[in-house]
Amino acid sequence: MILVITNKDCYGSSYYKYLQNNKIKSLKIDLRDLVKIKVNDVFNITPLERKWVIGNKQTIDLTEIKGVYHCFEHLDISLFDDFDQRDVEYVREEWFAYIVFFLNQIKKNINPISHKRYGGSYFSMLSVYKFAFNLGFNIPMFMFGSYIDLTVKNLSEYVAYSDIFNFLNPIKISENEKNTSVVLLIEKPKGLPILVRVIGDNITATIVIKNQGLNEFILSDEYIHKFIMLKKILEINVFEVLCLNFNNKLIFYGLSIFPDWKISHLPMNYYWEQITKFIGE
Amino acid sequence: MILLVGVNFDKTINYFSNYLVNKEVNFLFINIEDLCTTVKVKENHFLIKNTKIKYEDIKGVFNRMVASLDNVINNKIYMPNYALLTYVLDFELKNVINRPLTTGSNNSKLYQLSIINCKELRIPKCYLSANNLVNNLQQFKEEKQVYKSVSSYRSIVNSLTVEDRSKPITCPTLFQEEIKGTNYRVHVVDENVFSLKINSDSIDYRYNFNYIFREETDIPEVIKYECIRLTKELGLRIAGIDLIEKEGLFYVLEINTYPGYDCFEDYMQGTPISDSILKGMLN
Repeated sequence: MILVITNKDCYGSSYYKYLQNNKIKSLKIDLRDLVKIKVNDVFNITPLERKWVIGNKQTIDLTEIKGVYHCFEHLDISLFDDFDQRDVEYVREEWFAYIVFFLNQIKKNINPISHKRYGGSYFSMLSVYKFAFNLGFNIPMFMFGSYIDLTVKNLSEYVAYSDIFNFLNPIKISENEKNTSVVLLIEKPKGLPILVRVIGDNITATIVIKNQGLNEFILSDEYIHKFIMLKKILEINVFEVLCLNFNNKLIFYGLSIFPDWKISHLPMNYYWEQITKFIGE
Repeated sequence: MILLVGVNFDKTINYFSNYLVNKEVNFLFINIEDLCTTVKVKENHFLIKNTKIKYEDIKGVFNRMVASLDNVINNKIYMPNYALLTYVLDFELKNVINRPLTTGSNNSKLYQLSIINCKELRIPKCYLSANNLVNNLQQFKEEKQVYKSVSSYRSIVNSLTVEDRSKPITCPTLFQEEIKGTNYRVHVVDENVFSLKINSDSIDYRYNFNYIFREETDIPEVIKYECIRLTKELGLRIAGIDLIEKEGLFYVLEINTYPGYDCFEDYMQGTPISDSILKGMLN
């Protein structure tokens, strides 16, 4: 059985629909409902009696779950509105601690949440650039520092971030205002965007050309090897890399573990098929 | 230059600072609360009250970024800088004990027990329950249990009583078979192992004011090596490992990734743990 955990969707529902249409045994649960289930789970005990009861009626044998599709990194505080404000932080930590354990017990997980994911800066943009650079990728020019003085000559040539973990969330800056929360400036993207999708060992790339739409981009074996190595270093299985094709050079610009599958020369079903192969086998 | 990172209300960092003062070792302390004000994290140096400290000049770091700072946690300036400091400790500085990215396993006790590869140590039977009644859990009727938090939130470990059995479990709670034996606290710093046997009648000796620490005790060599191996396996350089010995078998309860070792070293001859941390930072 494949478990799909939805969270503000992130294509979870679309993937679940694919599984249903293809009669693949699956279960969908939203994160909001997940933190309300009745849990009776064990570790280091045989026989393994691991059960969830959803809504007091549906009993799930957790040992039947072989693969999981999810799209969350943390539990939002709003999931625990029913609890006393004084307890919310504790309850959230307990649920997260359990879910991390649970996800790591499932053999095939699109992206396991390991302690590296939530303990330090392994997944910050800075470390990802470091790994990519060490693998031989070209990376954009960037600079970081707290209370950055913004002494760069042309600020308009940079994208600013205050959250070094979220490539998808730049902040606005202006020449006149010294925004003290800015900690990272990355050279603005130049060149044609190429979206590389990694699903296990399956790698595809889509190039976005203005007025010509979305086309396949053929990656050399050398680059395919680099993406596979990056997957191993980051210990994740499914991700998307935004590269730029500038003067015939491929520049590694950013990485997301929540791919936007729609921007592709391939139909979404292709990706669902690959994900199912990866987590369902 | 040696660097200490943490908060000034942390007992362990204060203890280690005093140790360094007594040893006449120069060090610099970054109070992470000052990340909003006097401490700036730059690409290749810290700027502390306008003094530039180059990363390459820092020989070693004792990291205690463990305390939760409720007053700044949502601060828009503080959090990005905290993340930057984490990155610098993870990737830019040498000899960091421990790097932040290695410390997260203890945030879920059950996860940590599930990823460590024990050969000589045993793991207690673990049950996890939520939104349930203890009474509904069939397996609980057969043996004695203790219960505690699943996360690294500090909770008092208690024995499950008859009264507890009718109480609802509102959020995930970890139950373990109660192992009545002798508690050991083992500290590993790189290749060095320091163990203390703890005599206490209480389930959670940390909250028993009458607990008695025995003198340093040697644990079997195989257990020592296992402790070193598990510490390395998690990528840690220092760990505080809680063990219970019963009838010659050693059970692992938890591997603390930010061990508050000071209250254990008080019962040891000299300052062997601090000495090892210092040596490890200068190595």
